[in-house]
Amino acid sequence: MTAKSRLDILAYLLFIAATFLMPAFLDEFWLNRVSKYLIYGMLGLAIALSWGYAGVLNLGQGLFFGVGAYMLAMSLKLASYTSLQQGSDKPVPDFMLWNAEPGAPTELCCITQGSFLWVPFQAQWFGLAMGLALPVLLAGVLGYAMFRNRVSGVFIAIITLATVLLVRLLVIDAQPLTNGFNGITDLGWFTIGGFEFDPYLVETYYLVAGCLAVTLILARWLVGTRAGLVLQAIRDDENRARYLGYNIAAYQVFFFMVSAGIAGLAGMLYVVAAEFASPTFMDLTFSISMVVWAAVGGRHSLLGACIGAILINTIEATVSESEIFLEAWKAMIGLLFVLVVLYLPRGLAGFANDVVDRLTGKSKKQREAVAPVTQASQTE
Amino acid sequence: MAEVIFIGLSLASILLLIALGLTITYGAMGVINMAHGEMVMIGAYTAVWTQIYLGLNIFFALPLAFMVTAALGLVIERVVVRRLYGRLLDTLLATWGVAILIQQAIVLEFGFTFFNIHIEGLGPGLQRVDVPEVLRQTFDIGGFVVQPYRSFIILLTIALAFLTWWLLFRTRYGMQVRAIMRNPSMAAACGIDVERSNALTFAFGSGLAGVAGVMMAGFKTVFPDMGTPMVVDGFMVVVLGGVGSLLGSIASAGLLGQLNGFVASFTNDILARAVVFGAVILIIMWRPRGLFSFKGR
Amino acid sequence: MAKDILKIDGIGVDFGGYRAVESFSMSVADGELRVLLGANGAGKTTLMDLISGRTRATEGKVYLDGKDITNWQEHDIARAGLGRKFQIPSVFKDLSVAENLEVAGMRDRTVLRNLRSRKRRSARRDMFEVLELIGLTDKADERAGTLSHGETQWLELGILIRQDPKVILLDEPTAGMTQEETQKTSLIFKGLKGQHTLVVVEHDMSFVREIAEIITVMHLGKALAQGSIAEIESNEAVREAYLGSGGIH
Repeated sequence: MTAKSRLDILAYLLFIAATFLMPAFLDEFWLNRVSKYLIYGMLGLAIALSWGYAGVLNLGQGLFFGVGAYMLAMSLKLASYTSLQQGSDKPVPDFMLWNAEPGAPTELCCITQGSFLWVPFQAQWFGLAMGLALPVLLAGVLGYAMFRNRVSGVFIAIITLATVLLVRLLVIDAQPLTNGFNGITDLGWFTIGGFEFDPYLVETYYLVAGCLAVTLILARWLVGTRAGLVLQAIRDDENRARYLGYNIAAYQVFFFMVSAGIAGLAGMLYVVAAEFASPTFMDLTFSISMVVWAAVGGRHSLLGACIGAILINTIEATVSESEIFLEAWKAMIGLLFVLVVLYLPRGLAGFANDVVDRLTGKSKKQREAVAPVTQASQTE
Repeated sequence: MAEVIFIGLSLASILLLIALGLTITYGAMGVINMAHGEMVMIGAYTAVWTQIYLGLNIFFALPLAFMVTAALGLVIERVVVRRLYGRLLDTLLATWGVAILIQQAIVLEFGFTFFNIHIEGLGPGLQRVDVPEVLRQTFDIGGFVVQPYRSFIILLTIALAFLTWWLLFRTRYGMQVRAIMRNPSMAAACGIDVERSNALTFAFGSGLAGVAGVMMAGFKTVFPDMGTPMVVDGFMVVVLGGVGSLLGSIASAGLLGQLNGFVASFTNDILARAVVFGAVILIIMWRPRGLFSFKGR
Repeated sequence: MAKDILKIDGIGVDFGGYRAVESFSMSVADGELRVLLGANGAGKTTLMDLISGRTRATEGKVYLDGKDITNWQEHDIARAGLGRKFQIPSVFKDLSVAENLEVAGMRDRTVLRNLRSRKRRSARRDMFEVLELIGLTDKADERAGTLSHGETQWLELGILIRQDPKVILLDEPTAGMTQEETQKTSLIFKGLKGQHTLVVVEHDMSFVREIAEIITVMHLGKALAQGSIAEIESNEAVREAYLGSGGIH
């Protein structure tokens, strides 16, 4: 093991340790906030995996986040007291009552058109399973269709973007089923073995931090496997890899699904921490924001992208006390992003890498060998 | 039926109006300008300012908006885009940053908000523009009610599409642009000033966005992030049409506009938009290079 | 005579009326080094595209080691035992030289079977021989993108050696090389001879004389002649076809 990769692993461990030490310093209000930023960090990580390692720029990652969020939110909505207080012993979401045709039976099976789809979500494990399975499945179908047809570069960007906006519109349009623009609110608490994860409990924070740690370690392991190496080879030169006998589409679809699964998990955790699901999760701006976080943190580093997301959102939270500062901060983000793309294409992680190399006295040429700037994402 | 077709045509012309500028910047320069929507927005604000400060209507705002956004485009090309040629996806990302900057410049009233100075026609709020009387009165041709504003947009779009075609295919400048499109280094080797040509192209594309903005101001409220959905629409029209194909953009704008109008006629606007997105996804999967495409280098 | 490892039977493609390759047939024996000659536009690269699955044939068949691989997907053809080197050198630029060879040498090609950790040390031992052969041992840890043109060509040859296919197609392996680099390349070729079956497209006649056993000449998408260098150089039909360029030199 080289000194370099030892340092890399040390950075991962330090970061994970730091997230677990947070409760010693923060009050419950800030812990809840930070848990959301850790979730954003997961999204940054998912983007780095698909963009940095696979060369697939997904402008619709919010789709998987949103779907994951809605799946769990449906279960938690049915567990909410607002769904049980309707004079019936069987739960019915309050908004369905408002949207129901006069005279419709107040039962989940048939109160509004399509409301039967909610029935299995009465079991929390179902929502939980769907929150992971549906994003992965969607990514599988979408990825298979794209990569099988050798769609690449900007065309992937456009398809993923169109897909997230399409699903967003469908969710908004299906008002009686999804509560449209308003999203799903007034949720019950996520429960495991009788323990209720109140978003302001330290245990909830640990749940999020634990999920992030496991995801980070798994993703780091994944890119270090042979498949991870092949994936990077594909990013560099699809044809070369193809003529070596690798089924390009299979690798791309697999990692696309992994990335979607991480985003789905992040979506579910967000519902636990923020207690709502909304179509804004599938806004264009949110999906592009994730890309911004990853770019600033470093698209070629899983940890870098993750930290980038946490950093940007933490700063945003501290300045958002005043409306003017928040607007000015948005402008700063715009400027920062332009500067990063122009002058720091490998982001903060790449910068840190260079600093470490300079300290350990490596030559410029060797530096390039360990920390390459990808061209794959830059040419069509 | 005629009415549905007219609405589709009107939607198509708006799409094309927004996409025209993108078609040439994307096709000729290999730049995806995500700040294009903000150019439309600035065009719309120019109409607002023309009304507030000059007391003039949108006919006067059209040339002004073209100049304002073309100048802004020139600056963006010089400062940002120029450094990113050949890195298509990076141009998308960097111009997204530029887009945020432009939006915030309007929201923060060019920074004057910090000094508690407020300027009419700026800031985060909504603005509106009055449409001149001539374009408001509907009239009847053989039982068919003509909406003059929409008709004006259609005519203007046709005129601008024709102008773009003429510039690209009938002028010396256009020949240079088309040469750069096919092979930039070869064009440079033939003595074409690629930098200058690219700068002009970007300015022209931005100017067209400004004109589109004025027209948008006539039937939509004007606000700082109005451009975001528009760049998505424009982007789709261009990609669907095939990179750099003017004819392709016209065809795809026509297709998507009619599809939108047709679906909306028996469902609602939200579903119609969803169907349009679905069509874009399927068509790109079916033809990953767009409807009309040539083999570039 | 060894068995035919690559057999092409009347292959052809029709690009909307233009037939770049037409009823072309050729058999290459196991361990042979075959050179494909032909003027620009004779259809050599298209032929390679047809064999490797990049272009779909509209007529004819391709057999690799007795297996019909006509119009298979590229990666399936590659797995069946066909390697290809492109005219423009193509390597994984952002990976190190050693990683390039690692990707080329993986025994399993599917995703799920490759979900295991890389064995860096033993892998390094395996690829030592190849690194020596292509003369890049000192540069094993450098990014492939930093290599010179000649070194990149050799790395691609190294990738093909690690891939260890039954048949390797090479499109102008010495294009753009200096005299010195060409010589080193012909040394690498001699090292490959006998272990792999090679089909080489080449223009550089001095290089062809150096390496060739049997030459097939293509003209306007068809096979024109086949034989040893001496036979080809005295062939009437070939002289006829090349009259414009004054014969083969």
